[in-house]
Amino acid sequence: MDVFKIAVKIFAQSDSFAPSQFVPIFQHWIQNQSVEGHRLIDVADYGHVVGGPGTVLISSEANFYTDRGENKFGLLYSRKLPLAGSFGERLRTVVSETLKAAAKLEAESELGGKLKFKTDELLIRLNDRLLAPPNDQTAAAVKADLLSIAKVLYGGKPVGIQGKISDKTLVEFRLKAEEQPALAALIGRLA
Amino acid sequence: MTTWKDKLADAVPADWGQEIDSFEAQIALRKQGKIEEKVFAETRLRRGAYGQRYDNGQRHDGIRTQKLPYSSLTKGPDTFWEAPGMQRIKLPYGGMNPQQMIALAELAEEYSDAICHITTRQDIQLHFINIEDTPDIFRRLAAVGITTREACGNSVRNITACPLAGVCNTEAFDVTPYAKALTFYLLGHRDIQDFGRKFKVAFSGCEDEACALVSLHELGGIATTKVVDGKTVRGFKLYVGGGLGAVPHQAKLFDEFVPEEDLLPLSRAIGRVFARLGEKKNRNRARLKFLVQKLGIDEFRRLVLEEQRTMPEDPAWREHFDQIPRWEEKPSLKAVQLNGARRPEGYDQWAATNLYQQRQSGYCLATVTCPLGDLTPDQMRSLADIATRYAGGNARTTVEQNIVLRWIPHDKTIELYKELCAIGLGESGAGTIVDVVACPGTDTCKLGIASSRGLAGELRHRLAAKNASLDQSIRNLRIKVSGCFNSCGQHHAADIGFYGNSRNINGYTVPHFQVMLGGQWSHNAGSYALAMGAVPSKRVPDLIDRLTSRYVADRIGDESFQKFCQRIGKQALKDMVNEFVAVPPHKEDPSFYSDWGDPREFTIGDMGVGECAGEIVSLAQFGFTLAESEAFEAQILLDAGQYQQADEKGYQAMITAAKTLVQIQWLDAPNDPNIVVEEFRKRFVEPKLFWDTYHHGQFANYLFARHEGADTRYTKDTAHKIVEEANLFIDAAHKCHAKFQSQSAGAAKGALAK
Ligand code: SF4
Repeated sequence: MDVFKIAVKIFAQSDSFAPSQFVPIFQHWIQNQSVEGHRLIDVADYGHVVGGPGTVLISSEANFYTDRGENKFGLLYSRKLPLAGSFGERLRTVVSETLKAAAKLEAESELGGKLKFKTDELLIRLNDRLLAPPNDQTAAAVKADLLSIAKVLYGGKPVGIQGKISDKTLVEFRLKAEEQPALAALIGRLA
Repeated sequence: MTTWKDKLADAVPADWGQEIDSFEAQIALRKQGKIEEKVFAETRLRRGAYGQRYDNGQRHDGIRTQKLPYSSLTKGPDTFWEAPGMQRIKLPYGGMNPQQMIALAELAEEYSDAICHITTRQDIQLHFINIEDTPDIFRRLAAVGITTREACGNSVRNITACPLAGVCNTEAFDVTPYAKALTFYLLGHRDIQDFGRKFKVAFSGCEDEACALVSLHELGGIATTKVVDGKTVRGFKLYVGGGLGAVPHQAKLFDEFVPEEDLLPLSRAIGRVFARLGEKKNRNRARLKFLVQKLGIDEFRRLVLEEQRTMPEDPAWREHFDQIPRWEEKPSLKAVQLNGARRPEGYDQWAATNLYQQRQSGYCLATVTCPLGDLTPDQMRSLADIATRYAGGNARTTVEQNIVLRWIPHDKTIELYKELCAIGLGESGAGTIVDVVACPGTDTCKLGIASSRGLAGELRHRLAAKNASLDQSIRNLRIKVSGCFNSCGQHHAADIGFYGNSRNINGYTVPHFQVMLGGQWSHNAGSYALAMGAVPSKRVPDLIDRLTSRYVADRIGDESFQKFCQRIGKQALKDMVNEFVAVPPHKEDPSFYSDWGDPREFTIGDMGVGECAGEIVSLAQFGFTLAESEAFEAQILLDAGQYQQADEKGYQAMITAAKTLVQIQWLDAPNDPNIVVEEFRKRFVEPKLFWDTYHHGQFANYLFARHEGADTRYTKDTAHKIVEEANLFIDAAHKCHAKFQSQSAGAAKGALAK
C-alpha cells in the first residue's frame, strides 16, 4: 500500500468552540514554528462553512483542520508530503502527529483547559483515490496495519474497526475502543 | 505504480491529454533548470496554476517577517516551487454537471484545503495546491470535460453568462450555447495567444437585469432579436472595451446588432486586432479598454471590420456555431405546482429570496447560498446528487459566488429545501444585502491589501443576525468587497462597494477600505460606483448602519439607492463617510491595527508581485518551450522502449520549432507539416538564416530527411537518432531566432539613423 496521504481525526468531547478561537492559536504556532517537522505557512478560516474544515493551519507537510465534518468537532491531521517506511509505519507517524497536535491544542491557555479530546475513537482516512481506491482490496491491504496500531494504542484491549468503503467517499476506518486512555499515554505508546 | 495518466487514458480527450503531457514535461524541464522561470510562469498561468500569497518565501507573523525556508527552485519570478499555489478551474457560463461536481469535490479533498471556492467569474478555485499535483488535477478534470487551459495569464478568461440563461423571463433567447461555442472556438486558438493582458467576455440574455455585468467586460454580448423579411433573427448588441481595475471603463457599443453567425468570426477579428495593436510592454495600459480609448471606438470598429474581411479563412468557427441549435437542457422531473403542502419553518423566507419562477411554467430555479463562495467537498458531492434527482443535473455557478439548480418542479421545492438544510446549504438571503460578495483578498491573493473575506464574513454575520428586522429597501442592496483596487470583487458594480487600502497613522499601518457608493449592478452594471474616501476596516460595519439608516429615513417613495445617492449628493455622502475616519491611538484600541479575521498586527509587507497581469512572453518563446517539451517527451518514450512514438514525438518537436520560426514572419502559418517545412526552407534555410558556420545546413537537413519519411524499423537506434537530432534542431532554431532578432534590431536602428 503506497498511499501516504493519510488523514486522522480525533474528536473533541464538546463542540462548543467557535472556529475563530483557533485563529490566534494557530498564528502563534506559526510565530514560534512550534510543530516539529512541519514548516508552518498560513492559517485559513472557514468557520462560515457549515460542517466544514473550520480553521486550518497549513504547513508544507500537512494540514491541521479544526474539522466539523459530520457536524462533529475534532482535530483532523491530513498528511500531504510523502513519509518514509511501510504503510504501517506511515500510519503510525500520522496517528502520532495527530495526537501530539491534539495534546498541544488541549494545553493552549487561550482555551482555558476547556478543550478535551476523546481518546476512544479515531477516524482514519486514506486521502488518495488512485492509491487507495474504494474497494475490498484496499481494505484487505491495510487491515493488518490497522489491527497493529489499534493494539499498540489500546494495549491489546478490544477495539472495533469499522470500514467505510463507498465509491462516493474516501476509504475510511473508525477505531472505537472501550476505554479512554490519557492522550499522553497514547502518545507515549507510539513513541 | 498506477498513475492517473494510465487510469484515465481512455477518458481524456487526445488533444487535451497531449497538452497535459507537455505541461508535465515542462514541469520536469523547469526542475532541471531548462526552462526560464518567466516562461514557465506564463505557461502554468495559462493552465490556471496561479501563485498564492507568501509564495515569495516570506510572511509577516505579526511580530516579524519570517523567511519560509523553501529550496531555491522557483516556478516564476520570486515564486518558490514548494510554496502552495492556487488552481483556477474554468467553467464556461458556470455550467457544471453532476459528474463534474463530483470531480471538483474529489480534487478539493485530495489536493487542496478541502474547500471549493466559487469566484466572481463563475470559476472554481482550489487553494494551497502543490504545482507537482497539477498534471493529475488536469487529467482528472479533462476526464469529465473540463479544461483549465487559459484560466489565467494573458488569454481569453472564463466566458461568463447569466445563470438564468435559458429559463429567464426577460431574456431574448438563451445565450448559453453561444457562450459555449465561443469558449471552445477561442480555446487555444492561435490568434489569441499573443495578448498583452487578459481578455474577459460575458453574455447576457437581456439589457436591463444585472446578471452578466456586460459593461465591465472586454467583450460583452446582449441577446437581441429583430425581424428581417418577416422572420425573427437572433443577434447580439455587442460591447467592447469595458473593464474594472484601477481605471474602470464602461464598455462602448460596438454594434447594435451583430447577427448570430457573425459572433464567432467577429470575436476572432477583435482578438486579432487586440493581439496586433494592444500594448505589450506596459501592462498597466495593456487591457483592451486602453486600446479602444486610444483609437476611439469608431477607428477601433473600422479596424476590426477590416480585419474580419481580410483575415485568413478559419472554417473551424462553423463547427462550433453548428452546435448551437443542438443545445438542450432537460428537467428530470415533471412540472407540478406546489399545492398547499405544509411548509417547514424557514421555507417561506428561503423561497422569497432563493427561488425564481422559471419562464417554463411549474419550474423554479433555486439559488444555493454559498457563504463567501465556499463549500466543502461533501456539500459539493451532495449537491451533485441533489442536482441529479431534482434538477436534471443542471447546476451553474454565479458571479455572486453561489450555485443555482435549475428545473426544479415547484412541488419539489420543499423537499429540496429540507435536503439543502441537511447539508448546511439552506441559508436564505441569496442576492440580498446579507449575500456579500468578496474576492480572495489577503487570505490568498498576493496583491491583497486588506482582508476582503474577513470584512465580508463579518458583515454577513452581523447582517444575518438582524436580517429579519431590516427594512425591505435595505435588504435588496448589494455589497461587494475587493482586497485591492484591482476590483476582482467587482466593487464598482454594487450599491455599497469597498476595496482594500491602508493608511499610516502614528507610525502604524492601519487597514482601511475605500468606500464606493451608488454603483449600479442592474442594467448589466450600467454605471459604476463613486469613491467617497477611506475608512478604517473596523469602522465599516458602523458606516453601513449609518448609510442604510439614512437611506431608509430619507428615501423618497421607492427611490433606488443609486438615485438616493445622486439626490443627496456627493458632499452629503462624504460627510457620512467622514464620521467614521478617525482611528484611536494604538494603546487605546489596538483592534484597529489588525484586520478582520486576522489577529496579526497589520502590515502591507506581505504583498507580493501579482500574477493577474501574467508574464509577457513572446509567441516564439512559447513555441520553443513547446518544442523542447516535445523533445523531452520523446526522450521519455525512448527510455520506455516506445520507439515509434519516440520517433514521431521527436519529429513533431522539429516541426514545432520550425513553425515557431515561420510564425515570426507569417503569423497565420498553418499547422500542415508540408507547408511548415516548405515555408521554413524558403524563409530561413535558403536565405541562410538557419545556417551554422561549421555545420552549414546540417541541422535543417535533419528535419528535411525525417519529413521525407520515418525509418520504419523503429529500433532503439533509429529513435535515438531522431531524438538527438530534434534537440540539435531546436538549439539551431534558437540561434536562428537570435540572429534574426539582432538583424531586425540592426535594420530598425539603421532606419532610425536615416
Ligand atoms: S481585487 Fe486585489 S486582492 Fe482581490 S483578488 Fe483581485 S488582485 Fe487580489
